[in-house]
Amino acid sequence: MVRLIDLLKKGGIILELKAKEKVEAIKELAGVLIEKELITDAQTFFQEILKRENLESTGIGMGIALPHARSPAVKELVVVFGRSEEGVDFSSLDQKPSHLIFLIAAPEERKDEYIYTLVKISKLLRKDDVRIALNKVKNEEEVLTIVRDYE
Amino acid sequence: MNLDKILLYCDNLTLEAMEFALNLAAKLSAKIFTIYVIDPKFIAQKVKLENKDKEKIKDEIEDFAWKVLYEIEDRAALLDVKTSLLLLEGKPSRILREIAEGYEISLLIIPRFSRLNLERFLAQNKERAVIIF
Repeated sequence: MVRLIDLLKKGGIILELKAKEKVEAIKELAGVLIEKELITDAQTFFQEILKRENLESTGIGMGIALPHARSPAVKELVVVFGRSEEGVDFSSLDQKPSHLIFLIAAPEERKDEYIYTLVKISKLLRKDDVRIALNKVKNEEEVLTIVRDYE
Repeated sequence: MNLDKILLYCDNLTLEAMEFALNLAAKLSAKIFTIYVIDPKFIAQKVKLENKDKEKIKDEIEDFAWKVLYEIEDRAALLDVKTSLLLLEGKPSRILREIAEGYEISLLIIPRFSRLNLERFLAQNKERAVIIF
């Protein structure tokens, strides 16, 4: 089974997101995947992920957002984590800004692993101590340690 | 009656009931609030029956709950149906009522094999449409 830590290592971590709003935040996170050539067609991927975002609020409350999409433009299952001190409005049901943002990108055909990854991240972030710790980390290694400890 | 917000309760939800709810939402251009409620009573029963640790049981239920919710969300996206996923803990009948009121839900879809006392639930929710599927 896939391990979140491997998906994060493959994807990336941005501890200080510059973006102040949702679309910009998604672009900033997806930019990491484009740089690493994990996405074959950036425009197709943006369209897919923004379509998903328009259909549902991926801000799941408690300061968390999980923008995600399966797309033929994605080469392999990856996760990018971004943290925003100020918070980004992801239209969460609790109407609070999102500080911890995990972007999940998957190839069209890897549905089971994609859902498994969403389940894993959702469960991980329901833990108060994980959210508190992720809001405090000072470097990427600390993020990976938190994820490793809970996996 | 404007059926623009549908609440789908995921408890022993069949594939047919899920398809029915999503297709109905697509036809009505309605938003679907998909809710899974972790019932502490159910956890207690499972602890007794399976002789497992409470946290372990809760973890398994949460795992299953998210899987159901994300499967529905994935299917909803293919049908261009707007969704919101909710995973809450507590007494299901109370939570369903609170969510229905809070989000001004116009239609509730309840699986026929749900553990709710359907007769009592219907009697307590007369102000909005309910489909038992």
